[in-house]
Amino acid sequence: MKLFHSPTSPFARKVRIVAHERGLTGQITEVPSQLRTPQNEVLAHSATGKAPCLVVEDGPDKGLTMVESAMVCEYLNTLGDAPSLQPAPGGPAYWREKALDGFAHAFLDSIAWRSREGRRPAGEQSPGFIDLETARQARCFDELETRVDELAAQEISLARILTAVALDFYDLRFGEDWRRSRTRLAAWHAKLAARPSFQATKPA
Amino acid sequence: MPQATLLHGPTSPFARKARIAIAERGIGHLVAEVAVTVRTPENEVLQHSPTGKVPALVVNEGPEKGLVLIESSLICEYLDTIGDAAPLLPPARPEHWLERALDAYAHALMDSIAWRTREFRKPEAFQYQPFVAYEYERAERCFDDLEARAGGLAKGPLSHGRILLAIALDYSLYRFPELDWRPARPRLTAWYEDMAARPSFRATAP
Repeated sequence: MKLFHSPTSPFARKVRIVAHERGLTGQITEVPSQLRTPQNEVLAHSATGKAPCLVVEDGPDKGLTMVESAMVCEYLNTLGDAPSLQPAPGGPAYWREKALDGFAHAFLDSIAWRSREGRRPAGEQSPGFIDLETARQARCFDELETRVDELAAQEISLARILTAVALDFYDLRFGEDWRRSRTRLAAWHAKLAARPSFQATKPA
Repeated sequence: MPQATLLHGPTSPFARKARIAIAERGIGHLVAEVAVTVRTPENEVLQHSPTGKVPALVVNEGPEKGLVLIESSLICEYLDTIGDAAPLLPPARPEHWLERALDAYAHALMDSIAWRTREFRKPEAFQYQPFVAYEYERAERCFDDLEARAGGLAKGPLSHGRILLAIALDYSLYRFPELDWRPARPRLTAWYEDMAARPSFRATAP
């Protein structure tokens, strides 16, 4: 399989961490891609030009090309013999996991949008947009702080990986002030961030 | 009380995907639909999720009572489990993963059109032209690709991915009527027109 990715993309990082956690790195060639340029390697496989993008080169799904990190992670979760990173489909435990994954996705989307806005020329950044996303993130931090017991109830899962990746990406782009009033969440995050899979995929 | 409640914005394309799934699977009597106004303090989603995002599905009954789902693809996966109608996501591989890949593709295209729309809601001085131009090119590339793949789209059964693709095509015409994608793409146009004629699409048009 080939995994096209931007080395700094947090969504791609989720996929790469899943590959590490499930012992699949030997089957995956990671291809750093120049997104948003005419040289973007993804364009040879998907008109969307989006990464992460997984291209399956052999086996029953040969030829499959998948964008969107949530789908790619679910697919990787079906390969190999390592324990699944989510409860078996159906039932309350599965849906609780999915709800957390959806929440973490929305949270990280918001952080990524705000980060992208902040990289534009100063005069072209919309204060209204930034305020809206900053407020959304503050609400999400507070909610996560109240749900740390739920997060900690399981060592690792697809949704927990994404939540910790989102916090890591926030640190990288906007600093670590959020920790002052969310100490339990910070402690939970530190545990996940120390895993070899997180260390091996840390943005340079 | 209905088994679940879908909070949606009447013009949200991702919420429309869930509303069409409800109509196509005939589970409207089991899922209530509530229109909300996003990006305001009154946004009803905020009572359920700090993300404030639509669509949001709140489960009112059964083993998942109290569950709050954000993200349309997850919501559609859950809606597939309500009622007795056949799911819109094929359970067995390889069809399962081909459909997931199509759904993800549709999601990426819809995201791109939605981002561009959102950019135009900002005051004019803050609209960033390189971003708009890039997202426009991305959508055009996908339209060309879909024109080449229209035969395959027309062959398969109705699915979440096909629904979202048709919504994306429709939303582009709704938001950017001056950038009509239909000329020079006759096969995609024919497929789109078939989809848009379905009662579920008509009933949920923005």
